[in-house]
Amino acid sequence: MLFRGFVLSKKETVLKLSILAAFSVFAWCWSVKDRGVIFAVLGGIEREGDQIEILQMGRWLFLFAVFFLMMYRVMLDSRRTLLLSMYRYPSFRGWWKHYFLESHLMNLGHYLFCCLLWLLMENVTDNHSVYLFGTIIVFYIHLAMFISILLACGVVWMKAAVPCILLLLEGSAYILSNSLPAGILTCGMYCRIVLDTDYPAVYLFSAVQLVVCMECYFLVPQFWDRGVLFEKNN
Amino acid sequence: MSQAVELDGITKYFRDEKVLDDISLKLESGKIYGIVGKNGAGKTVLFKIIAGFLKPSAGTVIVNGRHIGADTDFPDSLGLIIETPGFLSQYTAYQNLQYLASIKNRISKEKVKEAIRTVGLDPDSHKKVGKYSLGMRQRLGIAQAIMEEPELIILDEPMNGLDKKGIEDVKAILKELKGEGKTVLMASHYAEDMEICDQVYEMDNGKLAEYMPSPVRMQ
Repeated sequence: MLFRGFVLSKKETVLKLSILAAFSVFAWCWSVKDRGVIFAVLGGIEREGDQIEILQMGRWLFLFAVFFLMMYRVMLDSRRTLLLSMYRYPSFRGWWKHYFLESHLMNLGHYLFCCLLWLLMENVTDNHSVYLFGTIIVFYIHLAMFISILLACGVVWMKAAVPCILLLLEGSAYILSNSLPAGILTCGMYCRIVLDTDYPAVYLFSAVQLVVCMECYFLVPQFWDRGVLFEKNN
Repeated sequence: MSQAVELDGITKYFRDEKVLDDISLKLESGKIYGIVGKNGAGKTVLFKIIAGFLKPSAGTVIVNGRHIGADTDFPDSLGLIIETPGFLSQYTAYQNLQYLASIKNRISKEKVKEAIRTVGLDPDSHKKVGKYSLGMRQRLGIAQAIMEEPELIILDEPMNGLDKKGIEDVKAILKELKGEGKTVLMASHYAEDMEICDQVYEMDNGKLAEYMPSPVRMQ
């Protein structure tokens, strides 16, 4: 089966969906569902004074780790075949556009699959999410920003440590946001938007994250123009 | 004969280290050219510059009349192996080549299978590339380089990992490509791989010179 640039065998598709399904069930099990599964899983960590919720923070970072793992496979395959595939495109920008958009499309597919499962589980438990679309959109934009950074760093920097650095930054951002009046640091947590009265401009941060996604998209070809992209491998 | 590749004053620095030193070269269409040189001589860097992956610090590259880096990022009609060819190990030879062919979408599935057969592999085999020997991967690399019938074929160490029969097979394929008017530029550590070449150059410390076989080397 060909998913445009990416080759997916039936076996691999089944494996991927199985991992995502297991992850969805796992996330559903741990969540406190008084405001529904979607809000509980994707809504973020509620503020309880200045207390740092280590367990909740671990759960929050786990969400990103699973989506990063899925993307890691795509990036690994792309890196393996880079020298054989890139020159077949009319230009570097052509290759980068395909790679960037298709990776995002694949990530969106993973995300929607998980959301669909959570919604199905919610129907089974007769427990309906509040702030459903807001939560889904805000989390996805946050995830998309991370995926954009991953993809850009994967081409420019080629360091396997990038996902770990992103998770560290996300964890640090949560810890700092608890001790500082800096709500922007937890911009992917929808619960902060709707439950914190001191939370400033609601969707502005999502717009900023979309700008980061676009920056990543436009920045990489500039490295290509400067002729430094493949020099690190030599 | 028309010029397939024209290099003029190619110099390349990595930080302060000069890896290519003022290389000028003209390759005519329909010929096989070879470059011999030890590891780190600069062969792969030169190939990456011709293919468009690296930009020279100075000089120009023209392939089939188009200035690489100015008119186009990559040569229009190119087949390439640089370093050990990287394939998706979880897929078969045919699936890997079909994926690469789908990018340009210029050739049929039958052409893909034909290229695999040409290098002595079975396109209908269910064996995953991850289980291939180095020689089989190398053959598959050559298949992907020639499947779209490019005008220019760049092969970095194409004989790497091949047994005696494999080397003879590759030489026969290259001769056939030459007969079809294709230009082949290949590199090797070993001078004996170059017997099919119309012209051989030697690269040493980033400098290119015409290869002069010494009596010791001929042994």
